[in-house]
Amino acid sequence: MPSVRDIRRRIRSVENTGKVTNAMSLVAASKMRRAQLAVTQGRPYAEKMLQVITNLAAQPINDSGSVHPLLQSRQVNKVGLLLIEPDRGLAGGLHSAINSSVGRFMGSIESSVSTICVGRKGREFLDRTGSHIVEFFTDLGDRPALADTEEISSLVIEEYSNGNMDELYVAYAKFESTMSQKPVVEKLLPVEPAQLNPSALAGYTYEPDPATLIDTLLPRFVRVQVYQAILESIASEQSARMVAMRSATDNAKSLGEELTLTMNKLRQDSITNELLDLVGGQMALEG
Amino acid sequence: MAIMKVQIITPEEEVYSGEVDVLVAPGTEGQLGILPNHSPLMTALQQGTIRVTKNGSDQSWNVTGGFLEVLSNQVMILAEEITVD
Repeated sequence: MPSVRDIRRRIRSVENTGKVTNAMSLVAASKMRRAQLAVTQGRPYAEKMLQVITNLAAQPINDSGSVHPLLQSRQVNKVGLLLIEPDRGLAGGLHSAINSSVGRFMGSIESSVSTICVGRKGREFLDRTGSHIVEFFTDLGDRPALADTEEISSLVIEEYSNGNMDELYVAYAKFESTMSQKPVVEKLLPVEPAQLNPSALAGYTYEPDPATLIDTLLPRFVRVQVYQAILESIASEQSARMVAMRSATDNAKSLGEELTLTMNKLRQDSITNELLDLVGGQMALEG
Repeated sequence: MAIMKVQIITPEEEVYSGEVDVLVAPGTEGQLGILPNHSPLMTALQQGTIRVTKNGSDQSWNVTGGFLEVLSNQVMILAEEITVD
């Protein structure tokens, strides 16, 4: 049976935890707003880029018949995965959701998977499962610029072009709303040409010509997709953390109330007992 | 007169969106002037200045590169780096 003093100590500790989680949720909320804005502003670009690239990829190829290396599908022996996860924890079930979808993905693939990893949490998971890590990036901050992710996308392009990876997927938490983030594993390379009827593209003028355009656009496309995935991941992280910390604060509050109730009951009991003792003693004296 | 909608976006944000009368952009094959009802076009951009004119007033930006698509009076400029001129 805990004493009143034990309970009081616990209440204080729970309240302090509540203060910390409350502060964390406020910090996450303000970062979340910025990150959500960045994601929604970046989306039109990334989507348009994808549309343009898939349309271009569907174009009849130039006379030489050569296909851009980033478009060429090869026989798949080695699969690459770009895993994007946050650096920090305390974001509810976000990491485990990504990790389990990555685990499922790796299980579904027969060839060997090598990974380019962004974020410490992803690395912890990969180390645990004993996966091969080609390169590890961290400390991108809460608001990376496109240039900050350049190193990652160059590596992605390089690994794909020199044949270390025959297919490349990217795994991250897609930001849907504050309450919902969806772990996804998407194919990044080779780019799948859009399935469209030729008439949809007729009448389009290309300057200089489709092949040259593709050459300049593809590396840029990869850069933008990688950047957007990182933005999505950051927005998801902050949203998940905000929600997790808010519910932790609520829990701390209700736990504190419960403990206060128990403490008061206990105190009342002991007062009643003391009164009984007093009255009992009094009666014994009088009797 | 037909209306031409122009949208200029970068990976980080939407820089401009609105209806304009004339758009001038630095295509790789030379300076491009685009008026409403332009035929469908897709081109890469080189370093230079994008200028839009609306009711006689100009607005312009410097781009380092990107590309431009015209489709049914919608002009979409995807620029990687852009600064107000």
